[in-house]
Amino acid sequence: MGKSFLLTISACLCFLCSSSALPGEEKPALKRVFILHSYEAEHVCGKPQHDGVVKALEEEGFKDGEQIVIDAYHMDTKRKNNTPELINKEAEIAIKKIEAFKPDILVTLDDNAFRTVALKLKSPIPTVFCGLNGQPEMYNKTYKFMDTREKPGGHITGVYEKLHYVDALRVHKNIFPGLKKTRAFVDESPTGKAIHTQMILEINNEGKKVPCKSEIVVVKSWEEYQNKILETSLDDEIGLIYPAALLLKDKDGKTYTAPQIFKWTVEHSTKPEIALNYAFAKLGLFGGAAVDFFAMGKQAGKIAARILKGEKPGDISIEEAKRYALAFNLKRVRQLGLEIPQDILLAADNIY
Amino acid sequence: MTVVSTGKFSRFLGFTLVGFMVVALVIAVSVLYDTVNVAMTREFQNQLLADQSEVSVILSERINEVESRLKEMSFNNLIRVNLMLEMEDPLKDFLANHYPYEEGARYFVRDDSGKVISGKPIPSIEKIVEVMDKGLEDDNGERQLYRIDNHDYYIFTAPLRRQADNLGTAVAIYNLAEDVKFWNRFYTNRQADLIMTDGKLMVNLFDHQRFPVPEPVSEWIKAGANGSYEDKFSQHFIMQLKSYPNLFYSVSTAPFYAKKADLVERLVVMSAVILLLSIFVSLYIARKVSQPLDDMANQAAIIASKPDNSSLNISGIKHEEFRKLAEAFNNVLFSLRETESRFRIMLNDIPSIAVQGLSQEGTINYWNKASENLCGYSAEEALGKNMFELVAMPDHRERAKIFVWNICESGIIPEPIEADFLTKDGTAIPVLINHMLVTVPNRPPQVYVFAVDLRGRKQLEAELLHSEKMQAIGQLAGGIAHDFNNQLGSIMGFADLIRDQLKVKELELYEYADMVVQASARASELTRQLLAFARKGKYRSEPVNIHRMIGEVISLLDHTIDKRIKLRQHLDANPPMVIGDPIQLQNALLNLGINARDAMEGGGSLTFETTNVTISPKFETDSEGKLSPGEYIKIKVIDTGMGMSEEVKRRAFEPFFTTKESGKGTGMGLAAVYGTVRNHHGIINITSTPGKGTTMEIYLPISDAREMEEKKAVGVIPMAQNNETILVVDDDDAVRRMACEILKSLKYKVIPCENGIRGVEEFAANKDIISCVLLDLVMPEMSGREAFYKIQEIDPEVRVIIASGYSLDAENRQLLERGAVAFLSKPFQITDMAFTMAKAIKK
Repeated sequence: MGKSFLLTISACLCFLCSSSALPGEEKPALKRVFILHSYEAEHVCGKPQHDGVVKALEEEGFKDGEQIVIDAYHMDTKRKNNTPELINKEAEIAIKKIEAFKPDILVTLDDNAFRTVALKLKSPIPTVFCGLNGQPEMYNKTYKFMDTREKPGGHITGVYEKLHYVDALRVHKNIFPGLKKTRAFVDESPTGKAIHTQMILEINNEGKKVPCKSEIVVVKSWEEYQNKILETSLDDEIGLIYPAALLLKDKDGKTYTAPQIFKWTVEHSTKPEIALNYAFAKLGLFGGAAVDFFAMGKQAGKIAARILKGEKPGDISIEEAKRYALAFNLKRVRQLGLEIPQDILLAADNIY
Repeated sequence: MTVVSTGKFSRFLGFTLVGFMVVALVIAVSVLYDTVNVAMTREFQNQLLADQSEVSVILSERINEVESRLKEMSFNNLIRVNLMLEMEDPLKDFLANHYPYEEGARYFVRDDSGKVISGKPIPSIEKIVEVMDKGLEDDNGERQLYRIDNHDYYIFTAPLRRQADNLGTAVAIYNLAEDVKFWNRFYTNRQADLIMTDGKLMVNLFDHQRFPVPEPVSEWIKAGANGSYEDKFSQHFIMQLKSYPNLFYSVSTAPFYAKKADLVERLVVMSAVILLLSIFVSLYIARKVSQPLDDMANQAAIIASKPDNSSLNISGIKHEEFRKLAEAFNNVLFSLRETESRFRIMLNDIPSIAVQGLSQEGTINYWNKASENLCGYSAEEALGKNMFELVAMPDHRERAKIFVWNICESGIIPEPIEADFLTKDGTAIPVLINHMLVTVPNRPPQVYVFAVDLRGRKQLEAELLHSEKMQAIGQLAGGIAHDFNNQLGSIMGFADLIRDQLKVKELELYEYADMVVQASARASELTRQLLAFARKGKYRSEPVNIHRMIGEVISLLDHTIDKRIKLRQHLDANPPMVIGDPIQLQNALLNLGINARDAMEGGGSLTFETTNVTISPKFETDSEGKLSPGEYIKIKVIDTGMGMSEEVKRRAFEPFFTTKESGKGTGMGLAAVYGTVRNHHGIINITSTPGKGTTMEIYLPISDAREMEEKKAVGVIPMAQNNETILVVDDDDAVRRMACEILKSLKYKVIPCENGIRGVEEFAANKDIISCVLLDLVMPEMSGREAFYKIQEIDPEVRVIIASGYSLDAENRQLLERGAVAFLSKPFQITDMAFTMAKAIKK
């Protein structure tokens, strides 16, 4: 009996050794995810979204290096390559990288990456957009990638970045009930235009539920922006500004990006500023209810995981970014001589 | 006769023990079952209560967890701020992430407008909100369940406030059925159900099965749902969950009854085993107990069948009790044998009762000695013979046979009967027969005949008849003689006085008077004989020497008797003294001598013999009743004359009966003798054989020695010393007058009274001067006895002399014992009166 038992064990071991060494029997290939940023690396908007995507994938069982391989490329279209030419150039680079990487899924962050890369790829790759400010229907006009938001039908789906503008006004109104009027500033960049459109849509959608008068000012230059800010500071009726002009040029052609614009704004404005997303509070704005890029990234990552699990992108409806966060810059609050109740501060997602 | 059925003791003992064990077992098992059943029921009820409490605790814990979570939610700053800032989406997100659905509990928020904000969609939220808007019931500490869309919810709320501002409400709905955590704990080591009822329907909260509430259960719930309720229909115990009025803990009764059934089964098996063991042990004990008894019974049967001197063998008996029983049996046996032997001897030797044992057919199987004596057949001759043929009178045999047969059949013992036994020599003997029936189990009945010879009694009866006749004659003669004697006494007394008065004056008249006295004396003698026969004629009572008297009689006879008759005397008595009347006694002996002389016309011998005889208490004479025990002198007068026939013997003492020729005898001789002897407390017997002679035997009591010494001084008549006064009470004028005259002649004063009443009156009037009372006993109106008692009442020390024409009989003796000082016979004689009176006054 002992002899036969040993023989059986030996046979099993031999079988296991031989089977592991069989030619052509490779481990299943890791899924490949490519995250394309419109932003530069460590951008206050791009990084949270990136982290959110990775976190969501991980939560859904796709850990980088284990179940998936993630690669990323930063087109830096907000700070450096912010002209159409530079953007397109970066898009070509990105396309090459993507084609070289052969991702199973492409995640684009912000409109530039989506518009210049995702919509331009020769071979369709399942794509999830995130932080898209422009209306999907608008992009669909130039390049048809969806049938409807609910059932896109193609290989593209994603998360539409809802500004929650009216929500932000409502929150501020609840903190400062005396708020009568607010003024928003948008630029003429594609993103600016998309933001502008979205703000109008939200106001229209909310209708009477908008808690105060809302005015949107489109500024074309840095100087105009400065003037409007200063002018607004003198207007007592306006209790709140919404600085959504994120890319401005002065008369000399110098480009001013969000950090620069916000730095000047807080130095010269006497009105609290709603941050378009909570990362802007970190840059010095007053804060308030703002888009939660991390949550939005997670929302997109969840969709990506579903696709990785086998769902077709065309079957996954396009979502709006659900989550918005509460963030305050206490320095700016104190600078403005305002006081935010302690419980609200405690409930805030981020305080800077 | 009651027949008692018998059975084996071992069987009886065995059945008794088994019966006792069965009864004891039934009682023990009943008590055990009752106790265990009560304990089981109590344990089950306690378990039910404990389970119910535990479930209540588990549910309370779960609800408390939900409520705690809700409380925490109501204090959550983020929720409050989001609500305040109307940050609905972040709030939803927050709720979804932090207050997700868990274990049946769902959490959501309602803002101040009532809008529901929840992390996830909540089923039936509209209806839940509707219920909430209607207002939740005040639970008063008891949880209320709400049934919404076939689900049962506990709904809990907590206000969401920011300082004084009401922001909304935090809500938790808890669906118990979905709480896996609860059910896991509920079903751990428990097989039960949790039932929710609204009074009409019952719902199993786990599987949602619905069923209507049975009527009894509904009534029990309405009555307060106290304790537990056993629903026979569903076969469940139901108990309300503490603090949860709508919830009931339900347990199937099946395990409980299965446990009870198991208990019953165990008890039955145990009882059966114990019963079997009991039967075996009982039979063993019964056998052990009865075996020595059986052995003893067998030995006793052998002993009974062979009546030798054997006894129970006790050496093989191991147990002390049975040994004692055997010893006691042997002792009883020996005692019985001894008793049986004694009675057998007694029965066999009893002299006067002839005992015969008979079978029902009359075959003789017992014949005692008295039977031998009575019937003349020895036991050897009689045993085995038929009783009726042997001794019954021929014409009575059939009747006797039926008589005995009836006794055996009916068991009724008849009254004693008189019959005649035919003796061996053909004589018919009258007997009194008693019967006794002896029955012994398993043996034929036995009749015992107890026959008493009636010949003696018959003779006694004849003699009694004769005696009664004699007594009647005597009374007749005595009555006449008494009156006659009284008259004669007067005649003689006055004649005597006349004679005394004429003694010295008128000699011629004196002789006449003396002739009167002499004639009176002869007449008196005749009456004396009559009175003697009537046993009323004893007038004197003095010591008499029988030997001297016999000498005087022989002397008298010697002068008158035929010389061919030899007179002999053998006087051996010592002392020869008796107390009596010497004249009567002398006359009696003289009469016997004369009769003997007359019986020996051709000569012969006449012998007087005396001997002393001591009569023991058992002694009885053959013919004349019983003599009192004591010393007697026996006087025999024996002649060798013609003797007497039985008829003559039987009538010899009758007055005026004589075999002599007419004119030669009065027929009063032996009658007077008979009366005299009886009057002296003696008896007289006749033994006579015709042609050979006759012997007359007289027994007289010997007198006391002191009395024998006492002799009266004859010659000097005592006179009254002080002219004492004597009260004389007598209804007869002549007698009274004579008594008074005699007393006066003796120098006494007299107070005469004609009756008892006057006597008492006179005594009462003159008691101080009356020294003595002479009182006649036989008086009309007030008798002497009555007067005596009354006088004695007046003066207890009074001296009374009783006077009577009769002898000193028992009645007179009684008066002497009561205080009378003396007895004086009538007719009075001066000498007797003088001595008696003088003696009485001296006392």
